[in-house]
Amino acid sequence: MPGYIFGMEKKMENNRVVYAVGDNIITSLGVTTCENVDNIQSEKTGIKGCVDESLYPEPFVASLIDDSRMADSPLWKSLSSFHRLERLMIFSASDALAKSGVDASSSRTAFIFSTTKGNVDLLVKPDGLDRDAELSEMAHRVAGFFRSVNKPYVISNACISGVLAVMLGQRLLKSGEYDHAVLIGGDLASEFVISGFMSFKSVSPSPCKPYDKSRDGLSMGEGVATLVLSIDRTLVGDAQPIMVAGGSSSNDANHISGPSRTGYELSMAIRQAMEESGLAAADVDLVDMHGTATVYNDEMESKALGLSGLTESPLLSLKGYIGHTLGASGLIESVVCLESIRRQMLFRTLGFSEVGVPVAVNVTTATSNAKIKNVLKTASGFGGCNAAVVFSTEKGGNVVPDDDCVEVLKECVIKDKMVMVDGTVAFDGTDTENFASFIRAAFKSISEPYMKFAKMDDLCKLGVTAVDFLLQNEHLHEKYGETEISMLLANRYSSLDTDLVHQRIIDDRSTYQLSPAVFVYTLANIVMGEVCIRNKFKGENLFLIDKECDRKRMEQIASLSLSHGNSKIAIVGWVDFLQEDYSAHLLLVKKR
Amino acid sequence: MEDLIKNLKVQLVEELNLEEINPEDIDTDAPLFGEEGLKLDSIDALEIILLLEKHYGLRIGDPKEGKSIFYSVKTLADYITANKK
Repeated sequence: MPGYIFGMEKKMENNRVVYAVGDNIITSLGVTTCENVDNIQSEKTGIKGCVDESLYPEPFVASLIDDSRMADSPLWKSLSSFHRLERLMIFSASDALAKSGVDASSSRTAFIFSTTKGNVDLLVKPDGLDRDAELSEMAHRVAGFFRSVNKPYVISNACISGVLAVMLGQRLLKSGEYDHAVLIGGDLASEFVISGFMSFKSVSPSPCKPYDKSRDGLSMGEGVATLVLSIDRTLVGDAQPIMVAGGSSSNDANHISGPSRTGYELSMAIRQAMEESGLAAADVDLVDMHGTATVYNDEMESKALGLSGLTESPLLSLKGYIGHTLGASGLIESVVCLESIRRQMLFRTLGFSEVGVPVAVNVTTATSNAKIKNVLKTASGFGGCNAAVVFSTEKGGNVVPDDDCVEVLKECVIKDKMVMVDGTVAFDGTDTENFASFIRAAFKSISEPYMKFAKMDDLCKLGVTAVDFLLQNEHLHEKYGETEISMLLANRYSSLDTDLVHQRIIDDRSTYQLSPAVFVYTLANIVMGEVCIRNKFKGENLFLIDKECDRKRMEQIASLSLSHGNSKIAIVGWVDFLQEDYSAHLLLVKKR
Repeated sequence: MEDLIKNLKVQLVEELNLEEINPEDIDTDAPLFGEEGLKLDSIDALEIILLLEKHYGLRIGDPKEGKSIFYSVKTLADYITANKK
């Protein structure tokens, strides 16, 4: 097995270290990292009252990007043929790449995107589906602008997407697959997401108050960020080079929209990221968490910090400055953390005044000089997902991930009204009328009644059914702990099928019957959440968007995950659904 | 009251996608949320708020207010009877 031997060789010679070499942030607070962080340092918020009926029928509070800030730039002007999010991403990445000196067009450079909804603003077109709304189309156009020769990685994993981009970038570089990675995150404050969060009654009527006693919900934000990573130390511009020392993810296996009741799962992601970094809790000079200022998120985070022995470390949430920027938030906030290290400054958690979470945590109340060498960044999101990464000027991380170490144990394919397991027909539904009746019959043929099944959207029904067939008679829990079982999925259409349902609801302004039970399914990774809840899987989570089922890439992602922390076995593959066009192709894999 | 309870059960099954449940089998006095009965969750609670708005013109602004109102089909029916204009 030459691949395996090659992997071993790499392990012997290599301890590659991943450096941050360039970055940019675009939010309401500015169009460069420096502008944004200067404003944060002077405790200025970009969240304000907005009246814009194209975004929401009533006045609302949010942090929005002012495009006129870029209007005089020749680059911005030249990008008028791109959709707004793509234009912002190109503007951001151009700045970061110029600072980094990395050659974007090199075969050694990977592009990694993080977004929840991409060009979702295009769905307002009533006449059919605009293909540009597909996330991989967006990624290809942006990467194409930089003449990238590699197929981009597109992460769409709810609000942890940005942190996962850092984690995946570090792994791809450490494994030797690439030498540089351009991480680009972005999400817009579209009517789609604003109305959705409103339906969840999770938006505060005033600027958000993370961890505070009187917190009453999040503030919506939009933003774009780029972080360029490289193994080439000569490209580092900082006096103290900053390394990505560790990263991990987990799933709560509790609820698709509500966070864990214990914080245990986030603490597991933290523990594994810390273990990889080789740092102890006492070494952490700053923890920047998701801190959305919803009652339950902040509560859960405090519990996770308690379980991680990190209640003494200064705790920061940046949401009071720029709101919740969804798939971009993890990247934007990571870049602010890097600036915290560069400036040797702790930033105040704007909006916070009195601790209102069950575990006493050390929320920052002032902007001050401090010695900062190691920062922990975390995020948590819908679908029960959590992620953590560690930035450090002291350690480069001690795991050498192997990108070719998986062994396939079992395979399940669902398409054309048939379920195949290891090449044998496991269920034949060719006599069923449509997908709905097929999937119900397939599920019933193998599983006990499950109340949640009928509530799921079709993508989730497909995924949950495919996993039930894949794992029949496997008894995974007898052999593996719940945090050792990971889920790494991909598809083409993300959650587009349910996105269109939500879009049609908001199109009808006369009724505007927003439904949280619809909106919660407008994220592709919810299918992993449903599977994790049903099967009590708490290991790593990663959802990628791709143009087609790329088995090689999925095995690579699984290899990288299985080289880390607890991860021992993974369900990887493809689950895709759009208007009766569906397919699932799952593999059960373990480390060879 | 009888009719209201009967209608509520049908509406709950429809709006909350309780496909496996026969409306008549819902116990009028049993808890809707928690580990028994219908085992509804926080998303269902938000959907019930919408249901009350859509079918009965009643607005509950804060989901927390719903806790006692949403306890059972009976408490829901009582609330509707008391507040319907």
